[in-house]
Amino acid sequence: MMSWPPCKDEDDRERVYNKPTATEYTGVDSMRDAFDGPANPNAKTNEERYSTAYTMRKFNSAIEEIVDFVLKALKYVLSGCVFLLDKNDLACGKTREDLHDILTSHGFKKETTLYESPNDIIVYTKGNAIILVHGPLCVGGTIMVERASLDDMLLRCLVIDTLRGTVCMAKGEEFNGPYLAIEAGMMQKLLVDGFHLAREYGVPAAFFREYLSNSSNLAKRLGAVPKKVTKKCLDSYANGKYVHRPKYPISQRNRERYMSHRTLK
Amino acid sequence: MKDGSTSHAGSRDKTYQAEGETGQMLIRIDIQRLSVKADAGLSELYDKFMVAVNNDPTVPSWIKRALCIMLHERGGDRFGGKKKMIVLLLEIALQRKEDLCVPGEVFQWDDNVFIGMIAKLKEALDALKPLFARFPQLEGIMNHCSYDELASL
Repeated sequence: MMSWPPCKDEDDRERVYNKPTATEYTGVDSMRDAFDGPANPNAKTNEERYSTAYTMRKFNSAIEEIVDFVLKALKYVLSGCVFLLDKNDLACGKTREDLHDILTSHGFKKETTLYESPNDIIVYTKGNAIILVHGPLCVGGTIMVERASLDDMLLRCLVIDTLRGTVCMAKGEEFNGPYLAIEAGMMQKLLVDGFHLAREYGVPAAFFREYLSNSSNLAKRLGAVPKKVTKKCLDSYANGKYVHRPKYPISQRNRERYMSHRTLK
Repeated sequence: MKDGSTSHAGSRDKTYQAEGETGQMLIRIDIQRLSVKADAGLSELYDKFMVAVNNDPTVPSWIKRALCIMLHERGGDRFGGKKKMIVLLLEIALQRKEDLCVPGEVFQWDDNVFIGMIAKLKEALDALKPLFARFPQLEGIMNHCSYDELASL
């Protein structure tokens, strides 16, 4: 299930976003999201587009989605599977839920922690099911230093490459680079430090996406993936006015898997 | 076409020049000044320029990749400042970034930073190896992301 539900930008259809790009770069087979859409479907400004002003019902629903995800992981206790789980600080904070409690209450045990908070990866296991809890991957491509420091950006890129390495390991593959997220992090930092012009025009983040998308064939810009296929969403699609169709640079393979997942559900 | 030629022995002077069907681009970096001149679309000169850069062992691979992305960008110089960034990238390659840095936000490029991160990554993966070793072949990899308020501009 794909995440990142910013409102569609009518004026910039070619726009792509950090999170789906980084998420697919990790090599995951499928994706899903805690929220079923943007907080403000009628957004006009960037601030509105990325608004977090969800209702409590939506926040609670997000927690239910997380629990559902954990329950799904439980089905793989014998056969084995790796799950990447965003910390979901937004939903957990608003609902006063604790992700650690959610996981442990379902029998998952904390095995180890890589790196340091907030750029840490916490490894939980139950049987052969592994859940890697991490911070939002989009931070690896953000240059909004007032929201995330440049060091955080760079270290989040380290997290992204580590997750990619972990996924490779889970697939029985060696991961010996190229370390594109780290390279992109270095590049962003370089450009931000060197030229404020670059930051102003969002070039560093563009580099981040170009680096990562080139590696996983995302550059074809295969188009949008609806985040959740509800009747309302489909109706809005038909009316050509809905929000769930940003130009996510997601591969055909993952789009099909995503759609398949939603259909089955 | 010159492939990152040096003007005299021992100096860091670099000149990259490429000619395309509709014009030429010249990037010159020396101790005293930086300059970029182009009278053709950068993308048209992409191949020739990259040959020069790729053959220059002083340019780190990640900068080569960045240049590749930069020069190959669709839509031309839509961000503006592309030439400046190319100069910056080459400047970094020549380890002369100090003069361009903004006080208080100086990031000193050092290969040790990059190498250190790779070492951290490998250390982390090594720590996980025993964990994966005890599991049978896994059926799949899944992801769950959250919405968060960080705009990816």
